[in-house]
Amino acid sequence: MKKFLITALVLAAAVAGCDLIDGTQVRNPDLLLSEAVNQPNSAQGLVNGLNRRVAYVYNDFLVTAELATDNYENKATFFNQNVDGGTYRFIDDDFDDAQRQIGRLREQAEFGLETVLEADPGAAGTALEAEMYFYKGWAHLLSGELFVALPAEAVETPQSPEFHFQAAIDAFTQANSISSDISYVMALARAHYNLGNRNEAVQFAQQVLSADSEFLRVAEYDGVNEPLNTMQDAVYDRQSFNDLQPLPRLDFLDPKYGDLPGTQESPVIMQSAEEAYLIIAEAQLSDGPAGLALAQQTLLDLLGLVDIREVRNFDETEEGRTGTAGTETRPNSSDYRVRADANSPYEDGLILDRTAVTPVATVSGTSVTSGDILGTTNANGDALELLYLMRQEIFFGEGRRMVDLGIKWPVSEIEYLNNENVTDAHIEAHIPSYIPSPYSTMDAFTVSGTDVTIAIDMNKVIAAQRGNKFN
Amino acid sequence: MRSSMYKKLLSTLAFCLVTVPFAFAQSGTLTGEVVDDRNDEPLPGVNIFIEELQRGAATNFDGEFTIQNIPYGTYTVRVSFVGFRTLNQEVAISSSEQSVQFRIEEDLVGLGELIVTGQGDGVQRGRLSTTVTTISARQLERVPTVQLDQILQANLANSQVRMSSGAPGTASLLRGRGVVSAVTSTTPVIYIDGVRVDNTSGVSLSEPTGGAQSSAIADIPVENIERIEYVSGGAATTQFGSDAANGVIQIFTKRGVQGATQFRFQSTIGSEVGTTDFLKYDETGDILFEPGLVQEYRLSASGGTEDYTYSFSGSMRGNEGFTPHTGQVRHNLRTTLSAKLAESTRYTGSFGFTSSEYSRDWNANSSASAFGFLEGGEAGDVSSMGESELNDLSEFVHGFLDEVDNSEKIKRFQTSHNLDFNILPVDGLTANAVVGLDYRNSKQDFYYTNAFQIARGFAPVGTTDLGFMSEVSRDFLGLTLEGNVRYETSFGDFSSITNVGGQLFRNDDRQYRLEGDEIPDGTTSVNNAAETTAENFRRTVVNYGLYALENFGYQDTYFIELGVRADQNTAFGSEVNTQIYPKIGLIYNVSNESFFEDNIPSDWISTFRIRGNYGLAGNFPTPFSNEVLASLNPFLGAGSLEFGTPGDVNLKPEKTETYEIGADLSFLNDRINFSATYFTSETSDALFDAPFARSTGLGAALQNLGVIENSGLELSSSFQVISTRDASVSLRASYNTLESVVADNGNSAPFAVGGFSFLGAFVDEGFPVGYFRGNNPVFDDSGNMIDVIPNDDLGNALPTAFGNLGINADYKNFSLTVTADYQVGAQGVNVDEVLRFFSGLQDDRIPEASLGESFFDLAGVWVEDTDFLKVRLIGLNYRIPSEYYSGFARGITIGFSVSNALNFYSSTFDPEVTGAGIAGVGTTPQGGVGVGGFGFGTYSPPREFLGRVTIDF
Repeated sequence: MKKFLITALVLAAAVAGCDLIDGTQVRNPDLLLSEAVNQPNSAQGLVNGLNRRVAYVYNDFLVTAELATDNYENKATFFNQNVDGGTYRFIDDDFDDAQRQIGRLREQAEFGLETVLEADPGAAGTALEAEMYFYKGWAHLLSGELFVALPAEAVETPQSPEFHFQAAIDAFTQANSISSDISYVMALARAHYNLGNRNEAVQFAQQVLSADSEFLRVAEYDGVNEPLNTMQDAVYDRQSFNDLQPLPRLDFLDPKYGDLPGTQESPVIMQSAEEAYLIIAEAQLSDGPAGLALAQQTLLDLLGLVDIREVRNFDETEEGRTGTAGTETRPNSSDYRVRADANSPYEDGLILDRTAVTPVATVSGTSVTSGDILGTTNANGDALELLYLMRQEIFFGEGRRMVDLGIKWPVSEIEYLNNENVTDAHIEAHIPSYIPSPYSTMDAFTVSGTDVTIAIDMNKVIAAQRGNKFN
Repeated sequence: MRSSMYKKLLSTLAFCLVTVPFAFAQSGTLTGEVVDDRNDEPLPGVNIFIEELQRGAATNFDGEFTIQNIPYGTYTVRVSFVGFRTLNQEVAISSSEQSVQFRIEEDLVGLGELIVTGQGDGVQRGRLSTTVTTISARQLERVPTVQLDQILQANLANSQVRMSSGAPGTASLLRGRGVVSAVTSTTPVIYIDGVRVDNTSGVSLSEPTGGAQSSAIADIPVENIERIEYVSGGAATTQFGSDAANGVIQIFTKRGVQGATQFRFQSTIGSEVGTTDFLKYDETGDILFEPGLVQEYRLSASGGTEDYTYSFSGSMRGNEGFTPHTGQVRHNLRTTLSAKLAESTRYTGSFGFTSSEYSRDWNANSSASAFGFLEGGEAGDVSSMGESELNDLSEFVHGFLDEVDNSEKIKRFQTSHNLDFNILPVDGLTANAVVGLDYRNSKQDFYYTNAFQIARGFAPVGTTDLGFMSEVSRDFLGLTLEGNVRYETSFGDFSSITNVGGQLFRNDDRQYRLEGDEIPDGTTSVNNAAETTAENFRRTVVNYGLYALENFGYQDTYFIELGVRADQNTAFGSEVNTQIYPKIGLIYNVSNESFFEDNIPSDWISTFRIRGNYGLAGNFPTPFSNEVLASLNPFLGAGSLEFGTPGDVNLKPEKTETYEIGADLSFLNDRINFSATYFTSETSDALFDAPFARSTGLGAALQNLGVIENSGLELSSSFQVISTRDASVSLRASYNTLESVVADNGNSAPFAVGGFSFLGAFVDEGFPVGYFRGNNPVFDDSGNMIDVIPNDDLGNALPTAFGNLGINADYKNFSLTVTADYQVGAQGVNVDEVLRFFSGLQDDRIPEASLGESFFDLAGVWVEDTDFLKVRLIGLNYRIPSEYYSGFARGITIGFSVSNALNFYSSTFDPEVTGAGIAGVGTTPQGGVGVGGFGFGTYSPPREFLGRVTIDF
């Protein structure tokens, strides 16, 4: 019996001791998604995640969207060069990156609405739920603005821009009904603008201006923990790489996103009250001569807002106005004057001296003066051209010019290969016929002494060809 | 039945009659020496083993041995030594002092050599159907031993070892039978004395210095190596289960030699000089390269008795580097003790410690990369600059280099404890247990000062808010437990070796990264920063399994190998069961057949054997890829919740199935040896880091999707051109072909494993892993770009053929070693030339008329063929005749060597260095697949001119 006891004890000790050498236990340092959702206040975490995600969304489309237009040209760097020349291939990584981020923004917002709110019911009916709807709508809005078509749900048939704008309106309406936030109203104005719904667009735009005539909503970046602002990197941080070169007539607007003190990053503007003015003015112009004076007044009011927006001094000593080193030098001082095309007058002050204190508007800037506004005579002619110029200048660096030009990107290769609902038609970009050929003409200009002539005034082209959004 | 019983009884009686007298007999002492049959040179470290008594000894430095208390009688003595034929000789002990001389011959075929890797315990190479490369201590003595990858380079007949950078301690690319995985590095797993050690490249949180990643291979303790075994995959690695589809390297350290303590002191001194062969501008070398002093001192000792042996080695190495900002200091210690604990039990403990300190330059196009700045054309066309302009440029470059600092310190401790048992009284039954660990701590410090920003021209004088520092610490702890029981027996013409065992290893990897922004110049603490951030990384994996191996032979002519391993791993999905890895091998020694012996004189064809095998080995998935995770990141001071790893509960190892058939032939008394192997392997359930549809909102995730095929012919040969008492010359050469293709992508979209957005290394069906995908321009006669082939196949970094060459020549006291390797049929991307294109300094590869085209569309022009022949080492040793120092030392050898001596190549850049594509990207950045092939702002390995004195006393 004693022997048995001793043996049993030894065996028990040995078995217990096995725990000491059991090397098979592994602990994952991260939380399972289901665990994270069931943490307290997970809805707040999810909304913070959406704020973070939208910064990535802008990082992954903004530079390419700006290059695709007459705003910027990429002379010599790793940023997209194909779209500059009008080469739109569905294999382009940049189109894919943009879709990936937009898809993720939408899916995370829906995950919040469907799953997180269930685990964190206290957040239902609060501003947190409204924000989830807002970001869901924002993903639809960008899907419609940037792409010929995109699935509105995972691995589903790609839907038209109109479908996405309507889905955006639905989501923004939900957000607006849950929580009062002017950005939802502004978002509704923009979505309706995209659909050409004049009454709704104007109504919401006026609602914005009466609530907050200096309204602004930005995508913020985290200079410490990332994401950093890719657009800031392209137009400022990389300095002597001379990545993105603006059209000379827009030189004074660059860099919209410059260095801020310490580790702060410039935010990217998602929405501004300026847009409300522009929507209202365009609606007024759509009334023809009867609306011209009203539109002029609206644009003058807009100038008043632009005037009070922040202008910062950036150190631009390293930023060159060269393209590829050793090749052409672009106009780079205030000695130059620029005209919008061969038939337009020269203007001074559009090209800045790049110094240690170069003043640039960080929210909105424009070369348009009250005289220019009051000098317009034709609601569907010069006034509409001026409106498009102001949209170009005010939305500079915000990814909006491409939408005004009517250019849309194709569904990407990776969606195509993983989603059998994507057809060959979806993988073709849409480039309106009024976009000049070659495409790069949009970025072209000639220099004679200190006189710069832009090859083509695209505002004239879209005013004539695309016309008023509400007509 | 009755008759059989009767025979058994009789034989037992006979056994008793033979053995009983021993118990009462007198005993004697056997002394003697072992010499090389060719030149009478005494051989230290040779094992002498009396089969009948299961006892033995090893020769001392003078080749002498003593075995005491041997009962009178006649015995079979086995004399074995790595690189020599095993001698079985009968010795009769009939007096108290008996002396004998054993003469052993160099084994040019190596069939008698004991191979451990993949066998559980030692099995003679002749019984194996798989190819195993070994490097002996004698071979290692001929070359400087600095770091493991350099030792292996050009010494592995069927593999390539490519250094990714000339920066000290950076990653190398080891590749055997193609690329069997689209996510896991091609680097084999590495064991030292039975303990799995860290072989990671591309540490997750390490500071990216523009591609040149720190590598744990560079500081694997290489002190006191007795033997290295390397198997490149297939059936030979089945024993390692889910961990070894890329092959296994095993290092065995010296256990010491019986006899009085013998010392060896070695002093090495020389210089390291930057290689200008691949530079675009000679001026880059003039500005950056400066020969640096290399010095190394090593002291080793060895000795012991019949009951215990010991071996110790310590070394110090200082290397000032070939640029003023690179360098290395290293201290190594290694002790191995082996002691007989009981008649049937031996303990061997091995302890290794390495301390390494590196300082490194930046690479690629990072702003602190002087090399990229000059070679990439950012500094302008330096070849057209005058002397004073160059002086100014040099001052500018060194001015900013002086203001940045990138250093790494590594402390590594590795130990192994091994118990060998003879399980008496069953003859031939032994057991072995190993427990050990590898602990590696690396600390990387990185400073970008305000002064740097000012010196570089990025910030005005007086800037104080741009100073940045990071401190990265990584702790790796690997534990290995293994036990196996072996039973070796023979009956009549049959022989059998059975091994049954189990193995567990656990790797814990913890990393911390601290960053400080706006630090004042001069501080080295993040506490002084205006803003600090911290990040960590943890990865743990445990793999455990059981194996059973059987090697069965008939008449030394036919052998069959059977084996199976059953494995579990914590990285498998929760729905995945134990994984089974079988193998089978067949060997037919044709030259042992009587019809062969009767018809073909043995001095014409001495060996002819045919072998074939089938085996399965695996790679376990990246740890924690099997779970659906959240991604929780700090954002603007608050926590955030996002989608993390999508996870897969069915995630399992990818499995590589290999068929191999081969033949070994020896002619003219083994003077000519030839080995040929054809292998074909298929990795099924290949892990792909494949992207999901973008509309799912998910990124990429590891999934068992693909099929990857590799096949090739491996030819190796050696020729003993001269073999006389005074002189011997042997040549070796190998030629390997390789075809590698992703046979099935499982309907996944192509995904990148390296490279750049304009030209990436991709995985897609119909192409090798990591093939170059990018746009390819078509020019007309006038040089206008008239078409672009989008996403064209631009080549790949895998050669269609590669191999190495070697010469070992001895004449009297001189010995010469030359090693070289070559490749043909691979391509590479000259990324430096892309940078020069941006700087307006391109060569004439782009027609003038197309210089304005998008570089995304021009991508194809930067791909070049990268054939090369590189002479890696030329070493000459001279053993000074003993009359000059008799009484002072037992032997003095002086040597001189040149590393990276000569380069012959087809490309305009060094095809081996790579600033991108050596470690993984995507979800597997650490230890991920890398194929190399992107020449990007990175130094080539420098030339080293070293003189060496070795004194034995």
